[in-house]
Amino acid sequence: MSDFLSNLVNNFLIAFGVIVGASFFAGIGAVITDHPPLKAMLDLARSIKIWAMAVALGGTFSSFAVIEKGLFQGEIKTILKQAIYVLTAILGANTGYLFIKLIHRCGALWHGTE
Amino acid sequence: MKAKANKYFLNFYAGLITGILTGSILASALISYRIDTFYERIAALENTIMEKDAKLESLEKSINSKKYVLKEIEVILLYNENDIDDLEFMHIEKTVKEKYNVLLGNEIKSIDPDIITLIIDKRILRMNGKEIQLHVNKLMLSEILKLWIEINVL
Repeated sequence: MSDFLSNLVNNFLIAFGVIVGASFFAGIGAVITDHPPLKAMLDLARSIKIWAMAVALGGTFSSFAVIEKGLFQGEIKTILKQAIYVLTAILGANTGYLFIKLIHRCGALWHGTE
Repeated sequence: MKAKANKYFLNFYAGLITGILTGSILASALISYRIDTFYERIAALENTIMEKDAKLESLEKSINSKKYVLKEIEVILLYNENDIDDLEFMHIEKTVKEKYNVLLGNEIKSIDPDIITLIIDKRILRMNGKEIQLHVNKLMLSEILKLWIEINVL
């Protein structure tokens, strides 16, 4: 697999994992601190989407540095690459959020069948 | 021998921690919705108790008068379902009712609809990092005070 493709897969999964992992542990934390867990999970997943993206890209500065290089030295290809990385990370973060929403939806279905 | 025993202990603890984490994640995924529903039910029941208490207190005061008094407050919230969840909905309903509970048991003639609209209209509530503005759309005053309130998340 080319470097570009493996970076895409990594970015997607890292962003996805940040959202899902953080939400699950926030849920456990909410149970311990006497708060509704699913609400805590959904709120957290919604609020850290942008951070999951930043984490997936390896911190914001490296990406900015590459974009700056692309802009001022005319390397359009690197800008495009970065844009695709960012988009993949956004996609991963949103898929993670949708996964948490899916748990909510499945819970509602499960509860409704009783 | 000691090194071997250490190796087994290390494996045991690694397995134990992995099991605890996996178990708690699975449990949290499976039962979190149910726990949330219980929280919502508790909040709804607390709201009901608070309303009934306020109503009882004010009706006890006006028990001997034959005048028309305000007996109930009904709040109808108009909102976008994606903006607020059930717990927030209940919190808003509770906050609004708390503001109007003093009116229970008062003679209807003595209540000015314009002033009671102003109590809640354009008020901003802050909860869970959200700012929610209330707009009174419609009001109906009889023995039941009915309020249609529109919710906007800022």
